[in-house]
Amino acid sequence: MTSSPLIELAGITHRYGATVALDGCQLDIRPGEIHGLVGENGSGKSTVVKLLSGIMAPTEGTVRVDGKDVDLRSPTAAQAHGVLTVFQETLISDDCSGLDNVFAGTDGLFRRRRRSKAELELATEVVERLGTSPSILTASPYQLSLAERQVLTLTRALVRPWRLLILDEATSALDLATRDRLFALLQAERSNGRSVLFVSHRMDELEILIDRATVQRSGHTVGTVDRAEATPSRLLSMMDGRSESEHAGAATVTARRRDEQGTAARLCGVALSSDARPFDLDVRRGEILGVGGLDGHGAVALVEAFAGVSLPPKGKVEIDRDGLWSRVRGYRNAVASGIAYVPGKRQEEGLFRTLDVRDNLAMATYGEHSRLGVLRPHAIQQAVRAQMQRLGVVPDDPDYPITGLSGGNAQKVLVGRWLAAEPDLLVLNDPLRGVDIGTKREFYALMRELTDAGMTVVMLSTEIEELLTSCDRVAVCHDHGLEAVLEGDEMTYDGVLSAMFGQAPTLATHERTRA
Amino acid sequence: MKSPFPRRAGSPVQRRIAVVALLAGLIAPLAACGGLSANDNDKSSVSETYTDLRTGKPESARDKAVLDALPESVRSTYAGFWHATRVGPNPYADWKPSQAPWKFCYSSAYQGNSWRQEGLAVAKDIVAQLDKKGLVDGPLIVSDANNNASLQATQLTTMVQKGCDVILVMQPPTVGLCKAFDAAQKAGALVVVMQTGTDCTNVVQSDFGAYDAGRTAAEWLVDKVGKTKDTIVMCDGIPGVAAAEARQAGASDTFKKAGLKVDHITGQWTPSTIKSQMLRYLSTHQGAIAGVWDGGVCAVPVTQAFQQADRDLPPVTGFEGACSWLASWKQTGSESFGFAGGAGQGVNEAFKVALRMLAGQKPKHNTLLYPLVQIDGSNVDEYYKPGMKLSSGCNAQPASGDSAPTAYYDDLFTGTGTPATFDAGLADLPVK
Amino acid sequence: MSTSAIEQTPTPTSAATSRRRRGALSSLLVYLAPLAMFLVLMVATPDVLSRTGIMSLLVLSAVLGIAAVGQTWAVMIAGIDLSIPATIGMANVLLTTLYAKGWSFGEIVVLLLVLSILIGMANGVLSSIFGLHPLVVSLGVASVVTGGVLISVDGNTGGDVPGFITNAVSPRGSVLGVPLPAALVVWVLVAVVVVLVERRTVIGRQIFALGSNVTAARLALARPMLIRVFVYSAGAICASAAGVLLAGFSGGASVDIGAAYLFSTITAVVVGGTSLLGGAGGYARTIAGVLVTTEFTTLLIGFSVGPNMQQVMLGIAILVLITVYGRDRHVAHRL
Ligand SMILES: Nc1ncnc2c1ncn2[C@@H]1O[C@H](COP(=O)(O)OP(=O)(O)OP(=O)(O)O)[C@@H](O)[C@H]1O
Ligand SMILES: [Mg+2]
Repeated sequence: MTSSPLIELAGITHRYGATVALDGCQLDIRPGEIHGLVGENGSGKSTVVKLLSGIMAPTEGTVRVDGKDVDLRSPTAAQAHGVLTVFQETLISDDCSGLDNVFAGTDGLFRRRRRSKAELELATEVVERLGTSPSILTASPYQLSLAERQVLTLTRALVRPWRLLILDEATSALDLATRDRLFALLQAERSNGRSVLFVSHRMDELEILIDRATVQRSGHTVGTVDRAEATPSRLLSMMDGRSESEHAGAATVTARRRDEQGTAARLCGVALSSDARPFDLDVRRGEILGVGGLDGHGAVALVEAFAGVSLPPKGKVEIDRDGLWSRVRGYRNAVASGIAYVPGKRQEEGLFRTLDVRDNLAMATYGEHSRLGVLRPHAIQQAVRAQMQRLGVVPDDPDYPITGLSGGNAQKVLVGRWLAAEPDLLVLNDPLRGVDIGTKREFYALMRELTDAGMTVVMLSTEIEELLTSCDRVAVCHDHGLEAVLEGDEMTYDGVLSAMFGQAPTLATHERTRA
Repeated sequence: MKSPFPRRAGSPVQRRIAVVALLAGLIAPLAACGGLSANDNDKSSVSETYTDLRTGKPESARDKAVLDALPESVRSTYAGFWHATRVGPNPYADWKPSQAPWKFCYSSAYQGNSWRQEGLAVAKDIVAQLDKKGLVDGPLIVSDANNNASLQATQLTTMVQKGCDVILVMQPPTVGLCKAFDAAQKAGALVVVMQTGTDCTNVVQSDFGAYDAGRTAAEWLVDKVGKTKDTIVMCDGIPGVAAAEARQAGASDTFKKAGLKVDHITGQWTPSTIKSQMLRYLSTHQGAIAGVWDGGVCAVPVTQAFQQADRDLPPVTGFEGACSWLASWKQTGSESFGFAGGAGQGVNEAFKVALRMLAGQKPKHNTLLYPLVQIDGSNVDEYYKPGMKLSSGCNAQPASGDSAPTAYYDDLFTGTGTPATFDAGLADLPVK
Repeated sequence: MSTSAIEQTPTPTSAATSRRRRGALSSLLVYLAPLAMFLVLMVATPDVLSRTGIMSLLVLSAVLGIAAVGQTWAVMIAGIDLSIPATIGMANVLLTTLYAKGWSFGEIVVLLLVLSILIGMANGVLSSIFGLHPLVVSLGVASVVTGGVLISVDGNTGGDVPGFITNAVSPRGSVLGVPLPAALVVWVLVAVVVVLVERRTVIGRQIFALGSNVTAARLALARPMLIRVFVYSAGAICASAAGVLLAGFSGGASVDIGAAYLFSTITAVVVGGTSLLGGAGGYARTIAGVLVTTEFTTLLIGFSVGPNMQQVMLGIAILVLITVYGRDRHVAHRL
């Protein structure tokens, strides 16, 4: 491995005011390699990405492209060197079409009204290569799912001439099928001599994809390892400084059976789209029910139905309130019945970007922490601190602006907002997107603790691994219907996977439909 | 959500430079325009027959020639006419008045204040009197354009369609209605524009001599303050509005001639603005103020500003003869000077012009300016009525009912027809 | 203590951060600006240093400040309120005409409160259920209000003003023997209430949330329509109060009396540094904006700058101040 680096960061320090985000960062990416960048939440990965894409300049240190010192003073400058980036947050404007989003910024002084046919063809080709319907190019982005938005941002980068493609957790919202297509594409491009910088918290992804990996720990570079050395336990121990054996040991939590305590909530004759087959689904008290499915197959609609965010076209959702079934008629009604919902699109539906961590964490519970509409600052401060500690939000400062948090930490705040409401039924739409492995494990443990104390959880995840390790049962959606509810021995990777593709193993345990 | 490809990226410094450049770009043309307009003083006029509207400019040779050609008796009233209006031949020279009864119409640019309401009330009253004499066909047709020029144009067209013989237009915008007036004239309707100058030369205009009024009030103030080094404050109206600029030109010329130092505040003819501007002026100028000249609406708020800022009240003129000004005069006992300038007298004068023309007389010019009746220490008691308060919204009207004696117009008209007469009843208007 | 980071005095904790520093620096500039401008004014026109001189400035600021409450909150929920001038005019004309007709001041206040809430409901409800931009809605409401007032008083806008109102806006006025104009006292009270509502109440925080992200606010249990009605009603009530004060200020009455307050309230809000994108800023900043603009226009009069040049200078000053505060410049850090 002697080829000279395509791009190189040497002795980089970056400060956001007083916060040191990077200190002595070292990174080199060779032509024709897929390079992993890993580290815990807040370890500075996105900061590296922003420096490489010309979003901001490092406080100290040099950036070299093809061995020459360069000054990436703007995204345009970075693009001129062939560096294209898909950022952690899906930045799609709802005000123009998908196609316009893909080609944003390519026009001259004035935005063109119509896109050329060549542009449409180019974008269509890329979208199809990713296994997505080209209709997302013409639809209003407002209606798109998070995964479809992410496909748009990927397309935006891939239609441009690139030498280095940076993917900052760009796969976190993708479903399995799209992700595999993307990986195939990346591998094909690698053999064309193009490079990829791949940021992810998913060890399984890293294992199949990368050639080398660089590990960050609280701002400094721990080191770079080759593919052979880059085992999950090795990477994890480099990330948090603990021994490898500790990581080898920490593994899955075993699923429990929870049928003895009755039903906490149920779907009766629910159809997730108007022409889909209706089904019933019970959620047992104290269980963690996982929800999986490929994007656009109704998994999101299923969790949204539980939370009353969007009522299903057919059927009813009911929650058990002290032995009586109470129908969920809408979002506020659901919240009043003890349901809490952590939305999936954290930028669009979750965060208040202009506010600080305290407001973001406590907004939904301000009502509880007030008397006659007047807030009780001390109670709020205590509650906020408690949640932040519980979830390990870094930095540990309620006054910090939410935009100053790393992606994973912002996600923790969002989860904390609804944990703080102490609901009976917690509905989570992919709550750990972008959260590092350590925190995930702590979170699973926390959920166990809470469900043991009587809370019920419905959790959508795009990661099969997560469904398997953290849930008691897994409901899989296919084609807007309930394909399978897997439990016990049925809960295997292949079982979930085949259900996602509409090949449910057996449906003996659960009657799937109502005639 | 922001796109990660900022369209026009650039560092903060670049952006700041861009802002500065933008500002420079904005200001440069402004300055250029200033330079240009300063130079077009004596450009030859496009329309040879009518003088140009030359607000805020010195007298041109042509203006002087026109002024000198006017009858001696009206010349001082027409002084400075070019600030507010255009003077030329009678656009209705070929017009043949129809036989009585006539249909009267009243097109107002706006009716949202007491002054406008009073004008309309007086017009209705006059039409009622003429009706008793059998001279009127149907009730007065009224329209209110709510300050919308294109709406007013439409309303004028409707009036023509309804067969109006005389359309009285209350304070239309200076420009923008000429086409509508033209259509009215072609249809045989007589259009009389009241209480403002206009750029349109196809109407008959009735207005008071604004320059002359501003000058007269200023002269009174010059007399009153005598030789002084202290400053005179001119309380100006809306910048760029011809009627305001004409008064101000009259006053400025006078103060300059008297060698007095002048400062300006811009009150926009709005009492609250005037008062806040005056308060600001007083708080930044502790030196003695010799007197304040009122370009309209200023007298009361200016007086209040002096009182509330604990400053000695110098002589303050009035202008339009507001009842509140008279009340304030009585309250402070400080002598003042102003005019009987309510809307009623304006409508009255316009009717006098219209009725002369309906009787077959022809004006010598398109613009008929008349002098306002003066109110000063010698006759204030004829005008002050006990019901007047600082918050009154009315205006004093000429005690005799007329601003200009009937004979005043004799020099401005040719022909001999005897116009119908009426009693404007200005003295009976309620004090509000 | 639920204030946004920007408005808090920086505490010397270890966790002091860039954004907070920059926020603190920017807000420090905002709050120092009135002082700096006053120093300039003092040096340029020393005459201003008299009791009545300062009181004049404060009374003018008080009226503008009270009128700007609604604009501040409207901008904070990423809207704008064009009906403020019409509401000022409404209160102004109704007070004078009804008082002249023998209504008591109390009755008029009750009527104005009711009408203000109706105006706020119209603005809030229409912009919520039809999803129209508040610009359009409040413009329409403004037109209805002005027209309605003119119809109801038949175009006769004159009337009477209670003496104590005149006294309240006189720079020489006093309250209970203390030589402070009542308008100023009212402004201070309004400011305290408004700032406390912003920082210490549920609806206050929800105003920020709504301006920041409507969908997220709804999911966090804020009721957008209710908040909009609250914001526009509070704004209309304050605008009415300004209209009442203006009646005492100039004696006469007119439906157009508020015309100047559209531009000047927006100026005050923007100069205070409240972002037009919503979700940030606050009334405390607007207070600074009000003082700076009042001082600045006074300075221009002190220098005898002509009216047209005043407009140009004010425009330049706004642009300069906004670039100096430099809010929302670092889009990069929002990624
Ligand atoms: N705009 C900002 N202002 C202040 N601090 C910031 C800002 N952006 C990031 N930080 C801080 O810098 C550190 C590194 O953040 P960064 O976003 O690079 O982390 P990351 O490795 O991408 O984490 P994650 O896995 O959660 O995305 C964090 O402590 C974060 O709080
Ligand atoms: Mg990140």
